Amino acid sequence: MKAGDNEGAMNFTRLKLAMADELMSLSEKEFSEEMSAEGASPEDAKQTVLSAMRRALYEASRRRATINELHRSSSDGVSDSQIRSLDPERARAALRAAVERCKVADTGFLMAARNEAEVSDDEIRDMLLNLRDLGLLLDQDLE
Amino acid sequence: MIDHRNPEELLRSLGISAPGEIDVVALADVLGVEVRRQPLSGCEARILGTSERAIITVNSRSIPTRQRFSIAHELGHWRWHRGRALMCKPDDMEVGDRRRLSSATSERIADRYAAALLMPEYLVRPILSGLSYIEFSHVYSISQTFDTSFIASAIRLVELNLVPSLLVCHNIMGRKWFVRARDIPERWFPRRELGAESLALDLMHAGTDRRRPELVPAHAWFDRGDAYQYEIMEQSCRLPTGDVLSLLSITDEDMLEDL
Repeated sequence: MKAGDNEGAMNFTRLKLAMADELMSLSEKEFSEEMSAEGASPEDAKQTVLSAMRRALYEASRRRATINELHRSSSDGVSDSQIRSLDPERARAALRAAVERCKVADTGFLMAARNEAEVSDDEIRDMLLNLRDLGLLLDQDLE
Repeated sequence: MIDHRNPEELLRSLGISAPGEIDVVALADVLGVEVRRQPLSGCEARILGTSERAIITVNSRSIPTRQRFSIAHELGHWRWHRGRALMCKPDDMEVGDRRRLSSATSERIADRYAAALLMPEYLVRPILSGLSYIEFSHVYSISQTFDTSFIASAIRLVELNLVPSLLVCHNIMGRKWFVRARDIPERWFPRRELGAESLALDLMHAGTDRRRPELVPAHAWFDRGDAYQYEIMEQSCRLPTGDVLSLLSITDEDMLEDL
């Protein structure tokens, strides 16, 4: 793809977004009238709305993801002192306890990593922080 | 929440119609997954999740292209492996041999998901239609367009079956791995050791770098009696690791017939 193609794709994206915005701003009556005038079937109209909504959701996600990343990069180093101060042995024991409990209690629990080296003590603590942020770490796991 | 069983359907449902619109962090967000970046030493990325939410942590020291693939790979686990704890190496989670094997399969599934998410067939195929063989310039073009690594792009092109082709990686000890397009019958299994008439052998031992694809005898690559009847197209290049990567395209349709 050439640079011009990229520009073309961006323009097309902007056009689609503008169309999505326009569709979302119409009242139900205005929307029905517009779709009828275009000769669209009710099913076409439904798909058009769904597509516009998903597109809007995706674009909102893109903006939110960017904001989240900026926010996190400015708050590096902030951590839960209780977890950060765990000694390595206790941190690993806590992770083991939490994971075993989650595997039994939560049918949707997922943990995956393609480890190429020993997981460091800090990474074990980070995993505990992740579990805490997901609401999966209990006080009893840290005991 | 959007159903993301098929990554290409997910992209289509979001109205993504150009490679530049594939924002993997935004896709994660749509799927209820938060992405965090920080230095990791044990792995490239990991995912921890519960039924509805997950957190992917990706190694911030890796190059952006690798981070992107790793995030997509973890989304593959999110799609396929909820309810499981997968760790590839024996460590604190005490993963045994049987489970390691299962884990390796899970990794391949997640890799395929990532490839389909980052290089969807409906966007790749129109770029490379009508080819009679694949060459590395096509791979490079795809890697640039889709912001993916050279090897991930090469594997994707072969697995998309655009052309009956194989991708084979050798080091000095022999064949390390290969992938094969689905149109190629299983009898065409690449040799473990490089054949004397392969371009790859020249490249491996003499450093002879012939940049263009060339026809070579099929028996240079396949240890079968009937291989002496055919020629195949080969292009080989040396990777920064010292390994030699070979793209083989089958141009003689007789080789594709079932016996």
